[in-house]
Amino acid sequence: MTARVEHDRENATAILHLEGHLDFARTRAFHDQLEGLARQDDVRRLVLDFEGVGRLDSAGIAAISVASTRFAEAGKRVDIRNLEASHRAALDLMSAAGHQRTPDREAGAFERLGARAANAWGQLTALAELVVDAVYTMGLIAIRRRRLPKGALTEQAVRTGVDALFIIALLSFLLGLILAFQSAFHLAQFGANIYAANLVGLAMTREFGPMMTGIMLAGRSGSAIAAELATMTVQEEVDALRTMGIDPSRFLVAPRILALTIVQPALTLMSIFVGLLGGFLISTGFMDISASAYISQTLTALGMNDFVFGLVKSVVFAWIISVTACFTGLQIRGGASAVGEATTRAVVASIFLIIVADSVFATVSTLVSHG
Amino acid sequence: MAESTEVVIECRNLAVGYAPEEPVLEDVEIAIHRGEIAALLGGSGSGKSTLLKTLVGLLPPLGGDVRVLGERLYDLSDVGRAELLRRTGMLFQYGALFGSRSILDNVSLPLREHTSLPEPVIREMVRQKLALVGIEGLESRLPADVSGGQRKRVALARAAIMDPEIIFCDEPSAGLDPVVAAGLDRTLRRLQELFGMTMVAVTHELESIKTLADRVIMLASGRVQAIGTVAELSGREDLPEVYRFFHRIPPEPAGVSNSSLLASLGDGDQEGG
Ligand SMILES: Nc1ncnc2c1ncn2[C@@H]1O[C@H](COP(=O)(O)OP(=O)(O)OP(=O)(O)O)[C@@H](O)[C@H]1O
Ligand SMILES: [Mg+2]
Repeated sequence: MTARVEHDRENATAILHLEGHLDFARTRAFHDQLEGLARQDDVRRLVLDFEGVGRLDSAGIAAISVASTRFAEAGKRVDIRNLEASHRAALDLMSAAGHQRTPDREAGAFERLGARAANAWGQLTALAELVVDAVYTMGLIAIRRRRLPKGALTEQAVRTGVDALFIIALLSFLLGLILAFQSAFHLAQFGANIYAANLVGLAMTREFGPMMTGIMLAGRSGSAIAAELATMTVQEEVDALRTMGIDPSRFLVAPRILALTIVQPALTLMSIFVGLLGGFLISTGFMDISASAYISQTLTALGMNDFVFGLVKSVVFAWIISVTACFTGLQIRGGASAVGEATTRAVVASIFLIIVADSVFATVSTLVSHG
Repeated sequence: MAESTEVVIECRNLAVGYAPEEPVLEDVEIAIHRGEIAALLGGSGSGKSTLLKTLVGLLPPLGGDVRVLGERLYDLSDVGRAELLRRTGMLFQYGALFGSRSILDNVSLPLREHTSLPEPVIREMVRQKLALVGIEGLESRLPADVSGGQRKRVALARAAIMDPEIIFCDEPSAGLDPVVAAGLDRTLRRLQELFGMTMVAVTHELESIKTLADRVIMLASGRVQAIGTVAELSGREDLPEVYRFFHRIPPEPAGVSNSSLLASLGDGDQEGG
């Protein structure tokens, strides 16, 4: 709702007849109207008429202060009239904006949650709660009933992804290289050199790409998430979020799970291709296989389903890592020393769970294709 | 004083604590009115912070009832409780600022999460609230890069940023020099007068209690020992904890009591003498 403006063209003055409350709910419209007036060249002076103003809160006061700075910068002025005593006192309490501007630099990252439950059953229900909560929250985010904190997803994704990119690429390259070397000798005995392409291709796509990425991210991102959330819990930051009416599972957990869910398959895909490249270089360089033969052999060996299999695994691993890390971080009790412990526990538990999940995948896929 | 008859915080037969078998406080009966400033007193470990945690929805009571702004805090859904908590603010004893975010981000967080105010207004609100607690130009610093007293005041600015109807403060002036502390007391009083903010503050400063508190709630030995105005309580000689606090009398030294180590040992010197 905008207030009525009365223009006094002769004196280049606009009079704004304010009405109702100038509070949180109304400030956006109020601010926009003031901005509009500040931009009008034929308005040199603005009069804010407080006659009809009800409640005035700090949002309204801030908007007035912002406007007076804007007007002053443009060589114009803002006057106030019909101010009642309580409004005068409120405006008086708040300092006027100087011309120093708040620097625009925004600091780095953020996080964490709180917890209880000492016994195993309590831990289990708490874990179930976290998972249900996270799924529910992400569902709401997906159907746009809730929003993620601004910038949180990108921040998390960048942190997880870019940091781990190089090391995962390097290790995958070496892995492809090793696979090709190890198989070369044995395959050469049967004159079956060319099957190195099948071996490297299938092993990287279905097994080592997802697994290697999973273990690296458990070590890097899982530990980082656990340590960060644990620190926040210990320092009562998670409690502080709750007292502000901010839901930690939306604010802290959801962006982390989502970021890993996006980043992990991407990194896995990269790992697979870099591994294939390593195998390619060894096979063509040392095993008398022509580049074109190796590539066409790889293409016949690998089907779409192999990639799907690898990527589905990577998403499952992402969930294992992020849920475990968030859970351990938020469940922590005790002081700073507990943070290190929680971090270690998160990494060990996720690597263990990744390997268990991997064996389930292997068993099920074998049963499905041969059973 | 701008008090009304509306009760905004009500505890009935409340028991608080971390384990049912050992409550920190029992039988808590408190009613705080809108616009009132209540000081929560008590020795270290008497349960002041614990009671505050229960009042802000962080620690379910072990028994009894808590109502905040007319609602049974722990009967609400998570969403309902979150909405109610937007109308209150909490200053933690150790600040609980987000260490990895700038002071601007810390103080503006509730605004960014709960409102759609334009960025310049948000920044101006942060600047004004910080100025109110005597801090200027530190917005881009991290909490670790300011002094302890400044951190405390940043946390207070954050607790007050949404113009809460009730603000809970755990030792707002601890760690501040007396001049700044007195200034802060005056600011809190002004906020209360202008915006009708209700305040519950844990404090040990006799001075700020005298200038600030409409009423004092004294905790000791797991109970609320007394509730009343400073004038009422400082004369009560029948309440030893209360009397000692207002007259700054330290408790009797341990050596005098029968339970001292020396008393429990046979004293050879005296027997021989
Ligand atoms: N997280 C916790 N778990 C179990 N017991 C706790 C916990 N926090 C505090 N306590 C215990 O509860 C009691 C009350 O603690 P509380 O922090 O409320 O004291 P306080 O009055 O705020 O003291 P201070 O003035 O030192 O801050 C103490 O005996 C304390 O040891
Ligand atoms: Mg305390």
